[in-house]
Amino acid sequence: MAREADGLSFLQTQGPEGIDKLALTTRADSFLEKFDNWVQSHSIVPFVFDTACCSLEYGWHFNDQFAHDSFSPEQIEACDSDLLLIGGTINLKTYPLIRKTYEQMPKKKWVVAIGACPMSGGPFPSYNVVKDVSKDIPVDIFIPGCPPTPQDIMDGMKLLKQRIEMGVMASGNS
Amino acid sequence: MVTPNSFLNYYSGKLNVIDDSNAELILEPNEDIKGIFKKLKEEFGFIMLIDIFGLDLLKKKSFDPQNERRFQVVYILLNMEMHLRLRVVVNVDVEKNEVLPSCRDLWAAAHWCEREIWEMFGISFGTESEKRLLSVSGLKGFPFRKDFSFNGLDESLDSEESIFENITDVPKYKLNLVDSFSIGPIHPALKGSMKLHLQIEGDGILNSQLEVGYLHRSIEKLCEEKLYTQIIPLTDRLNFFSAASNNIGWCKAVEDLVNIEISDKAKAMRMVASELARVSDHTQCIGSIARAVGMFEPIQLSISIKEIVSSLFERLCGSRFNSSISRIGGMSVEVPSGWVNDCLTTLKVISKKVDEIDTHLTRSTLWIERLRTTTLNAYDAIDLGITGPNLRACGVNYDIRKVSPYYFYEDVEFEIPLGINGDCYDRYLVRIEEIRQSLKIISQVLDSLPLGKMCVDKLKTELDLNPLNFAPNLCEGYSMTETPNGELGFFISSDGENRPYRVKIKGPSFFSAQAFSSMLENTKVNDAMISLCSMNIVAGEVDR
Amino acid sequence: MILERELYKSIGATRAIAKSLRVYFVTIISGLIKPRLQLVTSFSRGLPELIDSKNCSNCKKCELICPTNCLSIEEKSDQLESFILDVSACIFCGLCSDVCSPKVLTLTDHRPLASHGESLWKIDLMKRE
Repeated sequence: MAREADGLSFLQTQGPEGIDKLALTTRADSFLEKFDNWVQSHSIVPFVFDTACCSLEYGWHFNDQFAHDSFSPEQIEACDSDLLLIGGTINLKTYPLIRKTYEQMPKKKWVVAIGACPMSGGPFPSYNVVKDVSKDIPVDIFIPGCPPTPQDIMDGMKLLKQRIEMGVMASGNS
Repeated sequence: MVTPNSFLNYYSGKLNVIDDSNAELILEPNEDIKGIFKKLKEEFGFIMLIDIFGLDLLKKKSFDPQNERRFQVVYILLNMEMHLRLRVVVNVDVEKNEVLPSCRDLWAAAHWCEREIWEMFGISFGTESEKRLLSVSGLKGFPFRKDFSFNGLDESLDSEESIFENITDVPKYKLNLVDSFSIGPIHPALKGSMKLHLQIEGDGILNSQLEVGYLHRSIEKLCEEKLYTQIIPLTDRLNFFSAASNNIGWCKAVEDLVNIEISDKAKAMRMVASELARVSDHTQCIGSIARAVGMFEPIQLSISIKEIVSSLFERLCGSRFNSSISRIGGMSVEVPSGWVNDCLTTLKVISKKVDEIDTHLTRSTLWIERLRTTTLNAYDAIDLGITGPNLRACGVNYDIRKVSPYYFYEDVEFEIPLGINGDCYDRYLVRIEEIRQSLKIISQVLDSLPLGKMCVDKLKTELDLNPLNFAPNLCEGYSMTETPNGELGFFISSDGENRPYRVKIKGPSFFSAQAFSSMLENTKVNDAMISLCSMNIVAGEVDR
Repeated sequence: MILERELYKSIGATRAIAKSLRVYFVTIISGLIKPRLQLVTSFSRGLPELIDSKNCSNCKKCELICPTNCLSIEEKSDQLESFILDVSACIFCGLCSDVCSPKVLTLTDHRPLASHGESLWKIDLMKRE
């Protein structure tokens, strides 16, 4: 692996200027594009794909925020949602489901991976666990920790909001 | 009239008594295994089956391929009156296609255990047991054998077979109401990922089946390559709602294997940590039942109780949930100054909030009517191997903290609540009362906390307690603790090295998950989710 | 102890309305008057840090005990050259700092670790002192 900075380490890209440093393609030049991004960042629809312990930290907080909006999370279809939140260990049995969900989502989509398990398998290097989800599914924001505290997840969501306002997507379509 | 002495005398040649509560019996497959089990169950009172698992002896140092059989199947049976756990060991050789008789008609809990042994080792118990349970279809080979290597999946074995048979005895005008659908594996009311298949006729359920294996991480196979201390963070992630009690269960199992006595203060703090974990787990369960019914006020209260308990753990060791709080021989951190005071003041806050949940829910008409479903008989519960609050809700008085107490549970005063009918309302009442009893235990222990050190210090043992070199002698044993869900047991077999040879984890949710499909007859679809939440089936313990 | 028979009967409608009103008023008033419970958290296990790399004895015990094998140490002629930590695999369990005998490796409370997916997740702890 590269010891010298072939790329930038994650600590250097954490601040608001991270997107400039990484030289990602943005889409926020004309007024219409900026308005489009502003609307998108205020009306994002999540699809929560939680399989294990990381769901404790964000499931109870984020799912119940929608209770008084009469938004029932049980009935989200994948083709209506923008944001895929992956938390927990991904199995060989679960992997086709996440692949199908990703393909059914519309073209403008963002993916956030929560916890150490989707990033590198976490503490489970066995034959049955998918070690790196980002090889097949391009991921926007990684939040390491086992499990990350709610404060970490809020910070990750703030970074995601900056990404949406600049129009940056990891899935390659802009 | 069966007495303990008559049982010991009957098998005196083959029985190996280890201590007051453990014994071992070794059989060969040419004996009448089914007859012996029938006699054990009906005459000598071994009415509950705790677990069945397999062992591969290929890499053991004393294994002789010419004279010995390669595989062993171990049954653990429980006699609830003598509090004796009997390990029956059967040697079997798969090369000669030896098929063992199945015990499904004696103990209904044996079905899923036999399926798991077939898919992991290749030992067959008849054609009914040759169906996959945990592993992905298309896997070639048997994963838990010592000479297994993963070669990719075989796509041609992937087949979509229908799970339910066609219904033929329904009158013709009802045929278009018969349908089948599935809930999951990702659903906010499920604890982890598992899939519930239902076959319905209008609103009522005809057949149901719970499909597991979506969170199978093969923790037991990983344990064979890791040091004893490296397994502690892995056991955290079994029942992830109460991580501290799993750690304590593993450390207690290793210490019982090598007979280490830990300091008094470590015993007291382990009790406090596991009772705090019990409070957190039970409030999570009650909150999830309230969410399934549709009431939102108790959810906020249970979230605030969990926040208080998590912040207490964070002050103690630095992490909210998966804390890895204990080590072999003691604990990982000393108690910070001021923690005991904080804990005692917050106990009052927690008990006031529990009383508030009580006024909202107990005796309210909506709650009682929605929760009077899915009853479980006491005989069926013992047959299906269920332990913990689910068993106590049926009226059976069995709690490991009272019958075979460990640490200081004999010296503190607490009571065991018992239900009457065995339905969801009883499980809710038992859990709320157990929270109150746990708060009572914590305040009694913290009021008279012993002095001394908790971290691993010089203990009276010849073994080296350094984590890299810790290696028990050649021995094997089974040890259990009372976790919030039931009896969590660890079987450890050691070959004299610093990594264990075989570890088997007995998770209490595994047997609740097996029992779930037989409980759902004559209920409606609305009630299925409520009873799934009330049984507290956690996917981390079912799939391991 | 068997739970009381009273708990299994639901209460009548008038009693239920009276109880709900009482709970409603009590929670409003006590929510206004009572102060909120403030819990102080001391620290939270975060990113590991090398305090003093010159005192490191190169025993490599931290590398052996790590449950996820996320540390990799290279040395050149008895001197520590690089100490690489893979943050995407670290589970912040604290076993490496327990085993370190000259106590140069500790866990700090540097916690917000979220970042963009295109950045690198392996850092060299020697360069961060």
